[in-house]
Amino acid sequence: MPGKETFKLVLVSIIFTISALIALPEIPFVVNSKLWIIDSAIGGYKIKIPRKDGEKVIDLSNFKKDSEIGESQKIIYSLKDGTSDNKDQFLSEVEKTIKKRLSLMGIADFSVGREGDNIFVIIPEYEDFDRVNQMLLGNGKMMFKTLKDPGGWSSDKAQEIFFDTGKWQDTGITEHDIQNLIYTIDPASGDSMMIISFTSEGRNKFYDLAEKNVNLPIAIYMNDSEYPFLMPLISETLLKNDKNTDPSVTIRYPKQVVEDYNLQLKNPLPADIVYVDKTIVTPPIGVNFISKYVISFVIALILISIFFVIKFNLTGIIFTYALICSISVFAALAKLLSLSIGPVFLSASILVTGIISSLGYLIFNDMKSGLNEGKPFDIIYYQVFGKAKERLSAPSIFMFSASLLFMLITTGRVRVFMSVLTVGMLSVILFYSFLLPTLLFALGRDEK
Amino acid sequence: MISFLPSLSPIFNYLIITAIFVFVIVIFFSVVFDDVRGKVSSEIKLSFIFTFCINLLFYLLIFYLIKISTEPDIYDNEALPFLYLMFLSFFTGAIPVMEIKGNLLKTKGRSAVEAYDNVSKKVSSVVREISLLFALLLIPMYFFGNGSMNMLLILFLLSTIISCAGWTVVFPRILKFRQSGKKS
Repeated sequence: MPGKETFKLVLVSIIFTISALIALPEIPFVVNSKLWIIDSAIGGYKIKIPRKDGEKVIDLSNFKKDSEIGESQKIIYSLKDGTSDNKDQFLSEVEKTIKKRLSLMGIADFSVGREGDNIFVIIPEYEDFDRVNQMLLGNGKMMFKTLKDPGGWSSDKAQEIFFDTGKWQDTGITEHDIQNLIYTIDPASGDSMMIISFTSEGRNKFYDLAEKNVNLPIAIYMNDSEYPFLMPLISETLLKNDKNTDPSVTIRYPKQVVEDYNLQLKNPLPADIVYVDKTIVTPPIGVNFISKYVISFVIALILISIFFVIKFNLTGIIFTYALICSISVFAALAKLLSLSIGPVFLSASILVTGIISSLGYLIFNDMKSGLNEGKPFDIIYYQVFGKAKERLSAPSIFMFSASLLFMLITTGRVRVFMSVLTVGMLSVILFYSFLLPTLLFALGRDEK
Repeated sequence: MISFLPSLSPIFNYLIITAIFVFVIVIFFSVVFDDVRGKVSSEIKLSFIFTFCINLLFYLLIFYLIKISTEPDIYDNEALPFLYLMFLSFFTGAIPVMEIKGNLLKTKGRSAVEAYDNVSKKVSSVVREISLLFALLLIPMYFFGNGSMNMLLILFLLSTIISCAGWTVVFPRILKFRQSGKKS
């Protein structure tokens, strides 16, 4: 076998080993005999990556379970003013806003509905309750305030003034004057910054206010909270700026906080809501979902392998190797990208496995007819994977592109389906462009 | 339900998602069929899109009948079999189309129908066996799964059968119908 092909075979083994180790859950490996004592485990790793702002842990211990097969968090909200005449209208508008906010937060698996005068939100167990709750409770209001008594300001009193609500007065600059809050990093200092993008009217109002408050603080309140979100000092240099430039302020919040506030600002609640309760909901479609469907998936793979062996003799086993390897890569990618498993994942996996099997069938069928015509293996091989490769690659690449496009423009479960399909199509491409050709060239040449 | 554009009615969501997919198919044809005569290429393209849409319509009709007679318990996953059918139908449909293209490039000057007649036997058998492979995946899941996805699996199987029938029965007829319509 040429060195290049040997190298490819080693690469296939490495890809398979790494992806299997990523995809596997933690399996204990314990031996306690007179000769050997081993207390170890394989799979389910937690990889620690050192970063500037602390360690990041990639948890590969388990697949995420979606709300249909794993426990879910059910959060209940009600209107702050439950006696309003337009209660029904407000409730349905709040429901719509909640759905929009959850989608824009990137939570694909959620359900929102009404239970009497309450609104319930169901999210999977792995979603961050505190963040979701903060996001949904915020009404999206923003208020700029100045000091009632500018003469009383000094930097050593900053903390006292920050917490004293009585020292601040409204300025008339509100969320209606803001277009966007943009998180950025100052290239010179490396500090986190927030650009406040005003409307043209809002910008004029702000610079008028800034001129009257040079070297004084301005408090920015979000979501009618008791204390300011920010309290920047108006510097003289700010007034030297072009008046069409949006001001920026140094912040100590992470990017996500700014993005969440921006999302609330752009999708304000039509009426204020309050948190009522949180409960844990048991999976609606059974706790044995994973075990049962893993077994049935394995049976299906065995049946497909038998089909290939009947149809293409022992060469069919090569397909089984390549199929298992592709599925490992698919599962590993799904785990790394935190795709949640459940009925949607399984549906897309069926499609992906079917496509891999079909491409395998097309390749083996062409090889078989070529061999029956008496052509040498190498010529058929280069015809199938060279000249006629477009037949395999064109539909796969277009399906990958279509699923990627739909993933970007859809929300909810359709988005999950498209995400799984996109990842799956990557393993399909790897299957016909690398795994199967390599294995077939190395192991299939002697088979007639 | 498809939560593609939540503000629109579900019918519009299905229509928009189908329209985008058809647009992707048009791009697919313009890329893959750039070396085939324009007339023949557009004949195949239109027949492809027509068969694709018939497959979807036929599925929606059967799904509607199932829905009004049994109220299938598929939670919020109603859109999945539709999307499954769209992708499966595109994938299965690409097989006859690529075979026709291969045949057209071998012998120039042929019509799409002549090219299809040359490969029809092979195409039918390949599409049938590929559909069988999909069925081999679905059937064990129906019998050995925990039962919660059974209705979805039935709809996937239905989609597989519709797709198989569409590309082995409907597609050649549409191709021939278009040819005879042009001749007359």
